[in-house]
Amino acid sequence: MFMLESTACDAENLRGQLHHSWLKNEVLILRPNYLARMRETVSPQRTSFEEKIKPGGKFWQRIDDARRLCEIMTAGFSPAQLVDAGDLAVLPEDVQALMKQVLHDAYLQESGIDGYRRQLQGAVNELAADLEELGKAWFQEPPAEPGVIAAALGRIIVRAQKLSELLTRLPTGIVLP
Amino acid sequence: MKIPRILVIDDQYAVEADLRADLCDRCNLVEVMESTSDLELEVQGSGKLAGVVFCAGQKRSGDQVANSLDEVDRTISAGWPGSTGWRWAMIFLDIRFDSKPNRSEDKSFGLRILEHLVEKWPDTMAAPGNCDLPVVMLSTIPFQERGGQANRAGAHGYTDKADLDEAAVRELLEEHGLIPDSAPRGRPEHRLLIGGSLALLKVLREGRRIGRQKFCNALILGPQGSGKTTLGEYMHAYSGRTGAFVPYYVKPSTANLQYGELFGSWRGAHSEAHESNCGHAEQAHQGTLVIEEVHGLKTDSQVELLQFGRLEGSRRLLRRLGKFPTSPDAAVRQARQSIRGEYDPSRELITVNVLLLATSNYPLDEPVWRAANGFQEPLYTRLATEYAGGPIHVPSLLERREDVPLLFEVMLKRATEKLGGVWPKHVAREVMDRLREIDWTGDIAGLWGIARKVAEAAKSWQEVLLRHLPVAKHFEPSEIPTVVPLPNSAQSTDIKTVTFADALGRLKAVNVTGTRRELHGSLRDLDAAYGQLAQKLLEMALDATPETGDTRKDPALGDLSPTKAIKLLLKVDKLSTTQAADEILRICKSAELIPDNSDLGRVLAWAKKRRRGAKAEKQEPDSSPPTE
Repeated sequence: MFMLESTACDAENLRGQLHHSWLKNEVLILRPNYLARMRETVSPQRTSFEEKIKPGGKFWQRIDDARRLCEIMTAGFSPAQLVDAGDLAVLPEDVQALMKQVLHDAYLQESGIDGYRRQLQGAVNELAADLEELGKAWFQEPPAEPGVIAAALGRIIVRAQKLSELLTRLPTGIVLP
Repeated sequence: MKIPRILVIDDQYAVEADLRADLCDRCNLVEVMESTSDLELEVQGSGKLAGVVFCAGQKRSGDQVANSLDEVDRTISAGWPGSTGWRWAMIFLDIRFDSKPNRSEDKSFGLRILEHLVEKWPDTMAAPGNCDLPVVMLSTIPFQERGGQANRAGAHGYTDKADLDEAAVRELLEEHGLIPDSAPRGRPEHRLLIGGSLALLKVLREGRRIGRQKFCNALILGPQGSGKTTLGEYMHAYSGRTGAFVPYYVKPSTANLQYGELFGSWRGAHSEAHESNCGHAEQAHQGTLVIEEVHGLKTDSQVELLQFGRLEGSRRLLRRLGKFPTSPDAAVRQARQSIRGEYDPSRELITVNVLLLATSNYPLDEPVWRAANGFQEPLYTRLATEYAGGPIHVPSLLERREDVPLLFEVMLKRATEKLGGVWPKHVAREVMDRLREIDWTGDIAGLWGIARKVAEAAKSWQEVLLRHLPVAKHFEPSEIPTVVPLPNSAQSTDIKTVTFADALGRLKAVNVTGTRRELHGSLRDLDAAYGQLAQKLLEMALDATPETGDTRKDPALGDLSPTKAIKLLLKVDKLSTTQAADEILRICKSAELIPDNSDLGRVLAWAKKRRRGAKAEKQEPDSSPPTE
């Protein structure tokens, strides 16, 4: 696959943020036992973490972003969008439409992007389900045992790892067929 | 113990407390503020590896977040150097910064910051493209993706966030960090290189680099009293070597004695070798040997040191003076017992594992100096450049003026404790300002002198005031002439009698200017001047060591005792008359101007006669020179 990495692309920005800023920087570095211990006492860091995992918190916003990526990625990495910009934009509309269709079809066939999208959706749903479980264990009264919380965090990391690997397989720019 | 401070420039750490706490817990760090004082850090960070400050590298305004070089500059400036003299020990810099709304620069804003830092704080002592600030990229982006860009932008290192733990941070600090010498590692407190100036911190980093190589040679240059040997000890501490740290000071003695002291000797190698002895090089087996004032080595020792300096893996070879004894049995046993390394009888070589360091306060890195003083070129290459890439320059006190207050406080404390005076003391600001202003020509020793004097003057007082400082003429630079008057010139009539210590001080302090024409043949002129000074010293030594009793050996000498005089000048206990004669001939190399009927003339005649006699004796076997 050839890609135009230097061209601004919303799908790639979203992919990069999810992969780098969220999963790698915030989720994959989590240490279940350390966090389970942290749950035991009130502290600014505990509050900071709870702000992320509570319903509507940052991690849930990221789940929404991941779902949005699933929705836009097929079109977002498509070379068809190149026809709207630059020299090709001056072509007659019917020619532009034909070119877009040809480029998009070729891209779908060669990139296997739809297959990635399905896998990604599955991985996001799995992570969301585990995140919900973690929230229940973390916020329940009386609180869950540290071992239960640590296990829930461990599952999150496994799911995040899978999602991260899928994101690395996605294009990093507009795909040229 | 001074705790180093690390700055983390990262958009996420700066705003998310749980991530910061996690990093601190993983790496045994303590989060502090820019304004935290050294004392506060010492309390908060007890048992911690370092204090850490977080900077977002961004500015927030409502929902908007913008990347900001100004914010980075402001934070770095707080610790470069800090108001109380501290510096960032290391800077961890993220690569990707997410602004709101997103900008195309986000992906690489960390590299943009790095380029800016290289431009603003370039390392002027290194090749262009390097930064004084020790910046290590800290990212989750794989090295393969961004390592090349980070290298081109001037990063000192690159590490993955996920790999960061206490051991990794310690390793990075030791390799790249600017950390003061506060980790004794078995070294006594009084042997630390005190200070936080950039010049000193860089030298300490270089020292750790050499030490961590384990198998290396290094040449340490710097003014007298600047801490060259202490730096050697520091290197030894970081080398993790189990053997001893063995300093050897090169004394001006005979070639055989010098060789024997350094590389050892077998029984019977010379008249003093009553048993086999290992030299300093062998004593340092599994440890570190530092040869102090290496420029004073005689040719034979230089040749052997060249061989000894060759590393074959971790091994070095040395040859003792003389031959391994073959009888009697006791001598053979003793010889075997004296060996510290591994002896190869077929080649008569001993293999040892030694970190080799050499020091000098002469400009050995100047080819002209080496050529003029007989320091072999290959030896310089082997000691200074072959393994270490160049000599290490320990900065003078002038180059690390900002360390003067800290050094003075430590010295004053030690001197006061020794006198049993009042401690703690408050040193008035004007005193510190005054000390900082001085052009330190006498280097650390000069500052020690002032500290001792002040300790005495303010022994019973809690406050040290300007009045406690010694009178200005003892350390005031304006007292020292910038040009030393030349003999036989019009200025020479103005020369006053000075003490030897004063003369030495003036010589060291002299600032010479000269045109190309004036420099032509200048070393020869300097040699001649030096010769005249040496002759004066010899005359003084002759006066100070009159022969007494009926031990006179040569009636022409009267009560002059050339051997005693030379022994005094060389500070040695044993010296043969032939060796003394050689030394006198060397001192009086330009003998034309010495009147025959003067003390010097008579001693010179004796030396010539003695030398001729020694030559004759040499032709007859079994005639070892008498020793005193």
